[in-house]
Amino acid sequence: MSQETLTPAVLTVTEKGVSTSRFVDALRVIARNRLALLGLFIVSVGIFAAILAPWISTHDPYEINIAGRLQAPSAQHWLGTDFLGRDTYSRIVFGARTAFIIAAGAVFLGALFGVPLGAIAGFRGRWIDSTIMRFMDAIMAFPGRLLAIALVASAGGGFTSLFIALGLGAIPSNARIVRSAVLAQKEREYVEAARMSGESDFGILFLQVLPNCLSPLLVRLSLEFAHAILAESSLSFLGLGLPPPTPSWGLMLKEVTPFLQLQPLAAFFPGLTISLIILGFNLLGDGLRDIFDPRQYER
Amino acid sequence: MDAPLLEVKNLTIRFHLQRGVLSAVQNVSFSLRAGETLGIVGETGCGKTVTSLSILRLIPCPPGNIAGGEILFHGEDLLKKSEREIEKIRGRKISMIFQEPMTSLNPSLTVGEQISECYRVHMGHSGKVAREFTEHALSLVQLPSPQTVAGRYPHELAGGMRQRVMIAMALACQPEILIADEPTTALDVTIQAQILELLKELQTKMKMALIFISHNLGVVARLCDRIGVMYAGSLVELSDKKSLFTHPLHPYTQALLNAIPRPDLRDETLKAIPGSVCNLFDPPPGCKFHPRCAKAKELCKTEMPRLEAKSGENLAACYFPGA
Amino acid sequence: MMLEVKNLTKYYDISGGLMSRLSAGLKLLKAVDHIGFSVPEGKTFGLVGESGCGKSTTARLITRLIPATEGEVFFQGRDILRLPKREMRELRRHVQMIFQDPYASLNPRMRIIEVVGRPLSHFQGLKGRKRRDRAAELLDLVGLRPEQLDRYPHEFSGGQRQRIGIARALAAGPKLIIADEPVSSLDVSVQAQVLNLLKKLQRELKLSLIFISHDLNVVGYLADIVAVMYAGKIMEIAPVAQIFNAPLNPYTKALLASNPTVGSYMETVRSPLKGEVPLPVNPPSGCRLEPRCPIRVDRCKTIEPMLEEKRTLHRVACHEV
Repeated sequence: MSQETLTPAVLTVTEKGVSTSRFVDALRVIARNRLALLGLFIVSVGIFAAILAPWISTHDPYEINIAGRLQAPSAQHWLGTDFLGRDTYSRIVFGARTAFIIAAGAVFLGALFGVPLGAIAGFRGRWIDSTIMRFMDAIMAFPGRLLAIALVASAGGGFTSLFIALGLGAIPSNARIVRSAVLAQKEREYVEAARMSGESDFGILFLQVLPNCLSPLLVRLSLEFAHAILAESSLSFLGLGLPPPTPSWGLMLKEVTPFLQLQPLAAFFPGLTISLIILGFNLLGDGLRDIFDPRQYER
Repeated sequence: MDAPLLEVKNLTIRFHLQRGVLSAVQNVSFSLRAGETLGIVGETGCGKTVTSLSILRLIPCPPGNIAGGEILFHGEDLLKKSEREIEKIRGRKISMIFQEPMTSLNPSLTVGEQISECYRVHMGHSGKVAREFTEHALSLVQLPSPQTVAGRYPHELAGGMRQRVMIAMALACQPEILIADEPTTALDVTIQAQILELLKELQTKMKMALIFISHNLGVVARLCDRIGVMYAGSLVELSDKKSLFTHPLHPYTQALLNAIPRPDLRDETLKAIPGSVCNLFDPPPGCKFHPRCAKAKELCKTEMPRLEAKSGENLAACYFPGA
Repeated sequence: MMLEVKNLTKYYDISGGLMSRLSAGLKLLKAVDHIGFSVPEGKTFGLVGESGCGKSTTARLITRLIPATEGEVFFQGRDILRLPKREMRELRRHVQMIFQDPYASLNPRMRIIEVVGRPLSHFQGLKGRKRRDRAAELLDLVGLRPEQLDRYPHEFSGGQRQRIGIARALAAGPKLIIADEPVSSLDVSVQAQVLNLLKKLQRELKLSLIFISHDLNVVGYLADIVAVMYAGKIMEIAPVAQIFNAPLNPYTKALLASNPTVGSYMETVRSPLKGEVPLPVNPPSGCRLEPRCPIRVDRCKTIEPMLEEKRTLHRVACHEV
């Protein structure tokens, strides 16, 4: 059993020790990993802002006040106002809603199709595998952002087309990750044992194998979330995403760009928000990767 | 009697892990004479591998910590030597082979390159001389057509051949002691017999001492002169081969011998040892075997017995040794 | 007879891609090559051999975990290999398996109640309270405590996990259990516990058992009849006493001589067979043992010896006995 260097021999001993649950172990790893904790904090703040937007905002994000345009931060407008005098803070808070809804939709769509396709490809193998995976390769052959631009440009902006444009690009990578995890799992003896226990193919794949493939997927999904938020911002910035006056971070950036010299802070805060959220998701994703790496449990 | 070649005295090793302090080896003492074969047997986690690794100072510290004891080689304490001094002994005077040769062989170098590297680094031979020595070493471990094998990569060889290559490499510098840690566990029975035969032959030819570590009493039985039995980090018995198998002193040794299935005793229920090995993070007081021992008395539960001579030169750590 | 295996065969095409097949020709790994044996009711049939001899493949062929290339496996008169998929799933109620690796054979994300309970619902139609009660009974039967039902596999030691594997196999209510190296990864003291358990269960539940192992001592202790496999072929089949006291095939003799037993402590080591254990890739037409055999003669190279009854109930494949 112990074949690597020292640690495995030591680990076998420790296995006889008191057992703690995986969840507690995971929390412990997160707590030790300060950066992951920071990531979790940033992401939680973002999620709370999105959920509680109507209550924590100070102004109506659509309320125009031409007289008070491009103001610097003040007691009344915490982060200043934009070129129409709308409150930047409130628009960022509502923008979180937009960003998270679109990202969640895209990630959900990517997982909804990517996970079962990858799972079936890996589990069935042979021609089913080749067919599905070549199809995935075909999607992947298009640069993701370009694919999204093309889709949105032809179907028009708006939530639905953004879901589809961003989700579609995520399907192949989800499928690949799940497929390789399933490939690794299906050779394990518990799969044979499940078959002997009378489990059907469907049951084996979705009840037994797939739950053991979630760790790499979760890491992937958290990174994809970041990716989707960034993509939505860039598309909106290019004018291909959501139409004004929707509060969207990318759109906010775009709208104030002509006035950079007048009021640089108007662009600074939306830009900072985007960077922070992306950073948060990336830190969290790296942290998750560490948690799911079993080598982290000891020491 | 000659002075022992290697003497381990009161060796204690702990691992500081997140879960707590694991006492892997406790107060282990034994000696090895020149040319002798000492077997160390025990089950998973008994500390036999950790003990052997500590002789070559291969325990990663931290989390490991050699908390006490001495390891005297020619009268000098290996634990007090600098890393540089140890490197001169490791591989030259004391060598080691492991259970899985693949992990100790470099997959991207040919077998010949790896062995001649030993000669160049340890003995300072030139490339040409090293190559000649390499071929000699490979023929010594009875590999068919050494030249061909020298040009192969480790993954191209079968398990038994790989283990032969490992032995050739370990013996390159004619060490005084060879430590073999479960070298045949991953091999098939007929191949295992080949490797054991080879080890025995080479040992006699090169007059080296051998420490053979195994979980398999049968394997140790065939190879060793004296056998030490370890349980939960302690050496519980150290006897010569014949006494160990005919009159085992420690109840654990007796129980272990009784637990081995034998075709000639198929109508009897095996005498399994009840319970399982104690938690090494929190071992019981007194003798660590007492919770599973049929002969345990009050004394065993409080006082840890010392390894002492009980019958002639045979040692046991038990208050009530023998039948 | 509980089980009769005839001409069971599994070939793997390991030529690689089309290009390497064209350049190097077809490479067939004859993992199991036309073997036959039968398992009497209520007896233990031992299958021994070294790695790659095809013993684990045989187990998976009989249970149809992998498809056979050729052959028949009769279970109570019905050919398992030709049952439609639905009936095959039904038949697994009677033929169960215990696996080698106590770590890999339990799904790390399933509680013990699920591990033991799923076959109960699939094969016995038990649900809810009844299923739980039966699972608790099974746990008790294999020497675990019923309150451990809600634990996860990682909370158990190797020996305990193997007991869980046995409980899972029993849950289906089988007549025949195939145990594939069930104790080879356990320490001696734990191994003895599991062997005792298997022996007890086999007697009490009147099970037929196919016990696969590389360890002669274990097989000798448990089996009534022993078959020795080498490179995809059966070399010898006989009642256990004859295998151990009067083996005929040179391979069986070599295995016994190589077998390290504590009784042999005064003997010096010797290795009766030279060379490595081969994988039967495009094996020669003669006897598979021929290159390593100490008593080979000319015809061993060309003519394959058949498994013949040389003594009562004692069948051997060798020209020279």
